[in-house]
Amino acid sequence: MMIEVKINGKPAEVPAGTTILAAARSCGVNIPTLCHHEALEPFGACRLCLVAIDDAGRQSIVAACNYPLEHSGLVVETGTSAVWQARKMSLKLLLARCPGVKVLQDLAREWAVDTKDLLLTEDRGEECILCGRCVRVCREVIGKSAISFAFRGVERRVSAPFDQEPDACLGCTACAFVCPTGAVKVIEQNGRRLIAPWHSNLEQVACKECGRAVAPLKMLAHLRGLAGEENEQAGEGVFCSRCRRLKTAAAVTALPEVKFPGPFMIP
Amino acid sequence: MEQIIDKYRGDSTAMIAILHDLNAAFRYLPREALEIVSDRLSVPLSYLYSAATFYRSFDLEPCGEHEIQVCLGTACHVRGSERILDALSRRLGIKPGETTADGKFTLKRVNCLGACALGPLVSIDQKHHGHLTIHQAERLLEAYKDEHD
Repeated sequence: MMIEVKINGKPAEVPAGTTILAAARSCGVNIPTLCHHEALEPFGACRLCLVAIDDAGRQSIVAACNYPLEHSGLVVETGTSAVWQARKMSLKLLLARCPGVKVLQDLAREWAVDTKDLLLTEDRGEECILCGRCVRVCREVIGKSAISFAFRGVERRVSAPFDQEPDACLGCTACAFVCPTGAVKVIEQNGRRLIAPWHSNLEQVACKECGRAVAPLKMLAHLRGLAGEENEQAGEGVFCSRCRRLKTAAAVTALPEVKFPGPFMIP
Repeated sequence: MEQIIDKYRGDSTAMIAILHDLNAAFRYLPREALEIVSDRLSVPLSYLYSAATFYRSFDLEPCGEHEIQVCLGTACHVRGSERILDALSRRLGIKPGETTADGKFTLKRVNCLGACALGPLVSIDQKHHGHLTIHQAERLLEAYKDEHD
C-alpha cells in the first residue's frame, strides 16, 4: 500500500512501512547518520538523524532511521532550527565521550557546533560511540553474534563475552569494516590476524604461491561450510587475490592464439 | 544445572529466569554455566553475557554468604541512602560491588528494590529493612556479624 507524506514541503509517495530516512533519501533529501547502515536493521543509537514530524497536529522530534511511515498525512521537516539544535546536542554528547574521533570533529566543523564547553572534557582515547554497527553486522549478516553490548549506563561498551577471545569470532573483520569511527582495530602480523577490542587472535592461511596471509582458517572453513564443502580442506590450495589473478592471466596467455579474419567490416 | 534448564523446557525466552535461578544456586554465574545454557538454548554466549552484565541482580564473581543490597533508587536516594552505603562500605572495608576477604558479605548498590515507601531501604539476604538511619544500618550489620559468628 502506498501512502502520501510531506517532506520539507514536498509531497512524496512511498510504500507503507518505509522509514522517514529511506523516504527522505528517495526524494533527494539528505539526513545525516552515523549508526545507520544499509545492510543492517535500524537501531536509532547516534541520534544524528533527528527530524521534526507533525502527525495531525501532534508534533515531536524523532529519529528518522527507525521511524516507519505507516499512514498518509505525516509532515516531516528535516532542517528546522529545533531539529538542528537537537542534532548538534547529540553530536556534542558524542564528542564529549570521544573528543579525538575525526568523523565527529569534521561534523562539528561542518555544522558549526560550538565546542568551547567541551574543552574541559578529558580525551581518554575512547573511539567507540556505541552505535552498535559491529554488534549488528556480526549478528545479522555474519550470523555469529561473537560480540555484544555489555554493562549499562556510563559503563556500557561493546565486548566479547567475559572480555576474552570469543570462540564464535571468524576473524572476518566485518565489524571493523562497518565501524564509522575506526574503533575496531585489526592487526595482521606473523601469520595471525588480531581484532584488538575483542582479543580475537586467529591463524591465517598462507597463499600457496607467495606465502602471504590470505584469510583466517576459521573464516575459510565457515565459507566452505556455507558452500557445502568439507571443512577439512579449508586451508588447502588457497591463493591470495594477486596470485590468483596472475595464474588466471598466465592460463589465458597460454591459450592458442585465435586468428580473426582481418578487420571487422560493417557490411 | 540440568534441572534448572529442564524446568523451563529449554525455552530460550526463559533465558533471564534461568539466569536468575542459576545465580541463586551458585551465588554467581560461572562462565561454564553460561556456556552450557548457551548450548542448550541455542542462544549466543554474547547475549547471555550482555544480560548478565546489564542487570544488577546477576553476578559474574562469586558472592559472599550474605548479600547486602543498598537501594539507591530515587526515593531512597533523596532520603540519604548514599550515606548509608558509605557507612556500610567503611565498616566492611570494601567498595560497593566487592566481597569481604572472609567471604561473609557482599555489598551492592541497586537501583530500585520496588519498596519506595520504605526508603531508605537496605535488603540483607532478601530481607528488607526500611526507614533506616545510618546508625541503625550499622547496628543491623553488627547484628548479622554476631549472629553468624
